[in-house]
Amino acid sequence: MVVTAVFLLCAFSCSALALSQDRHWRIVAAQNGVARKDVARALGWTLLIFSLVFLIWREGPSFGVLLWGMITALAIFATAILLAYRPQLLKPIAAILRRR
Amino acid sequence: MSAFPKRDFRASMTWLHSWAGIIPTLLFFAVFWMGTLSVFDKEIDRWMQPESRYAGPPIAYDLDASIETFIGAQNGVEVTSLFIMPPKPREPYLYFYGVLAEEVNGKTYSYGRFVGESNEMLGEPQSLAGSGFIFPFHFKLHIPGNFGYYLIGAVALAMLVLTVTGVIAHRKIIADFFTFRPTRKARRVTLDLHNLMGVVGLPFYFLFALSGLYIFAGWFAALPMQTVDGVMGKSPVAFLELADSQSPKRRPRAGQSIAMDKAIMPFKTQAEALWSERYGAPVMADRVRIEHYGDANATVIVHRVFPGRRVTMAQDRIDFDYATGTVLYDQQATPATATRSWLEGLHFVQFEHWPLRWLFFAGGAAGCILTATGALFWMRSREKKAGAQPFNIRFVHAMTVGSVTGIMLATGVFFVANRFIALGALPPGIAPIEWEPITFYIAWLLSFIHAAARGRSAWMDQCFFIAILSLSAAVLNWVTTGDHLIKTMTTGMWSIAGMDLLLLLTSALSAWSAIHLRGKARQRPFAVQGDDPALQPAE
Repeated sequence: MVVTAVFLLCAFSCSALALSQDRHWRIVAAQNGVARKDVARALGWTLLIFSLVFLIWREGPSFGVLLWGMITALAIFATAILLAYRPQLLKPIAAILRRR
Repeated sequence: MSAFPKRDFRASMTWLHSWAGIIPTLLFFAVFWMGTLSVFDKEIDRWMQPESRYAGPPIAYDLDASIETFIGAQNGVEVTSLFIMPPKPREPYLYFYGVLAEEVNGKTYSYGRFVGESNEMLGEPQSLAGSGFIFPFHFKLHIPGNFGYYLIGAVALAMLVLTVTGVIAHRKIIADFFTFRPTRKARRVTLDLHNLMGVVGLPFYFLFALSGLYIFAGWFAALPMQTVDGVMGKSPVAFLELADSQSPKRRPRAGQSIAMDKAIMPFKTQAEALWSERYGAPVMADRVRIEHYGDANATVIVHRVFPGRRVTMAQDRIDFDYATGTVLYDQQATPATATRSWLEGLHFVQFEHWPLRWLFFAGGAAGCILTATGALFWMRSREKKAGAQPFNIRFVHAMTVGSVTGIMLATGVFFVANRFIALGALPPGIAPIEWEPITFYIAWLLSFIHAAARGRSAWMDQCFFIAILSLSAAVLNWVTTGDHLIKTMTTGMWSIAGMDLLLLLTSALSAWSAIHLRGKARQRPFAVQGDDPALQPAE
C-alpha cells in the first residue's frame, strides 16, 4: 500500500521533471502552449524529497532510504516507458504545468 | 596506432567503459542473473525440495524432542557440536547440522530436518536448489578453491569502475534521462535501453558492488587465506566453525563427559527474553549452537543474525555454560560496526520486507538488461564497421548469446531436471545431488556451441527454448507434486505460487521475444545501416 502510493507520487514527480525538458514537452503537449519549467522542476523535486522524508518516517531510515532509491528508479523507468509508448497519458500533468 | 590513442577525457573513459564491460560480459551476466534469482533463493528451495513445502500457521516445534531424535539417529557416532536453525517464515522447518567425531560416508557432518510439527527426521535434501547452487554460483561460480572468489571480487571492482566511467561516457546524461526511443534504429534502441537501465539502477549497482566487495573483504581479512581454501566446500558447517574458532570466547573441551539431560529450549527463551528487554521489542533467536556436546564444558550459544524487519544484520550472541546455566559471554553490536552490518544486511536480503525484496529482484533484472544491451551495443557498433574481422565478431557474438540467453536456458534445464529427481527417473550412476548441476553445465556449454553454429538466429532459438523450458517446469511441478497454481494460491503457499507465476511470465516474455526476433530477422537479415554520429564506437 505505502509502496504503491509512494510509487505513484514519485512517478508524478518524474513526469513533471521530464516535462520540464523540451524534448518530452514537445511530444506530450507541443501544440498546447509552453511549459512553466521552473514550476515543473520545483514540484518534481519537492515531491521527490517529500516522498523520501515520508518513507524514512514511515519505514525507518535504513528501509526508507533503500525503498526510496528503488521506487524512484522504478518511477524513472515507468516515466520513460510512458513517454515512449503512451505519451498522451501524461497530458493531465502537462495541463497543470502549462503557462497560462 | 597505439592501443590507447590520445583523446579527451570522455573518450578515454568511453574506451575504458567499453573494454572493461565487454570482456567479462559472461561473468557480469552470470553474477546479475544468479544474484537476481538468489533474492528468492529460499522460495526456489521450497519449489525444488517439495518435501520441505509447508502451508500452515506459524510453525510450532519441539526443539528438545528433535535434538533427541537427531542424536539418536547417528548410530552411536559421537556428535561434537550442533548447529540448530529454528523455523523461519521463509524456511518453515527446523534443521540441524551435527559435527561428527569421525567421518561417516565421507562426511564429517550429519544433517537432519523436521518439517512442520512432525518429529520424523528427514535427511539431507536431494536437490541443491536455490541456496545450494544458485546462491553460491552468485559469489564463487562453483570454481574449486579460492579462484572463484577472486574472479567475483574482480567483477565487483569492475562494476564500480563501470558505474563511474559509464556516467562520464554517457554523452547527455541529463538530456537523455527519461529517454527511450523504441522506434529508432536497432542500435540506437539498444543504447537507449542500456543508458536508461544504467541511469535508473546506478545507485543499486554501486551499492551492491560495494557491499559485495565489503562482504568478501570482511571474510578474507578475518581469516587466513589458506584455511579458507581448505575449508570452503568441505562442509557447510566447517566455515561457520572456522569463523568462530577465531573467537576469543571459545572454550576448550574439558575431556570429561556429562549427560545432556537438561532441556535446550529454556536457554533460547532466556536469551530472547534478555534481548527483548534490552531492545524494548520482541526478539527471536535464529540460530542455536551447542559446542562440545556431551562434554563438561558444553556451551549453548544463542545467536540473532538476521533481525526480521531491519536491514542491518544483528550481532547478538549469548553463551551459556550448559551445566550451570550461567552466562559466559554477552555480545552486543557496537555503533562502529553498524554501517558495515547495514551494507552486509542489504546485500544478503534476509530481512522481512516483501516490497523491498521484489524491488531488489527488479533491480537485479535491470542489471541483466544493462549487461545484455551493453554487450549488444558493443557488437552492433563493431559489426557495422568490422567487415574486416568477422571471426572476432562471430566469437564475441557466440560468447554474448551463451552468456545471456545461454545461462537462462541452462537455469530452465536446471529446474526441469529437478523434477526428474522427484520422479526417480535419473540415468544410472548419477547421484541426485549431482544431477542438476551436470544438466546445468551441459546445457550452458551447448548454448555456446549452438550460438556459434546458428549465428544471428541463435537469439531467437534460445528465447524459444527458454519459453518451452519455463512452461515445462511449471507444468511438471503440477504433475509431480500436485501443487498447482489454484491450490498454492488458495492455501497460502506463496513461495510455490510465486515461483510458478514467474516461470509462466518468463515463458510468455521469451515466447514474445522469440516471435518478435523472428519478425525482425525477416525484415533485416543482416547488420544495421545508418549513421547517427552519437553512435560511433570509441575505437
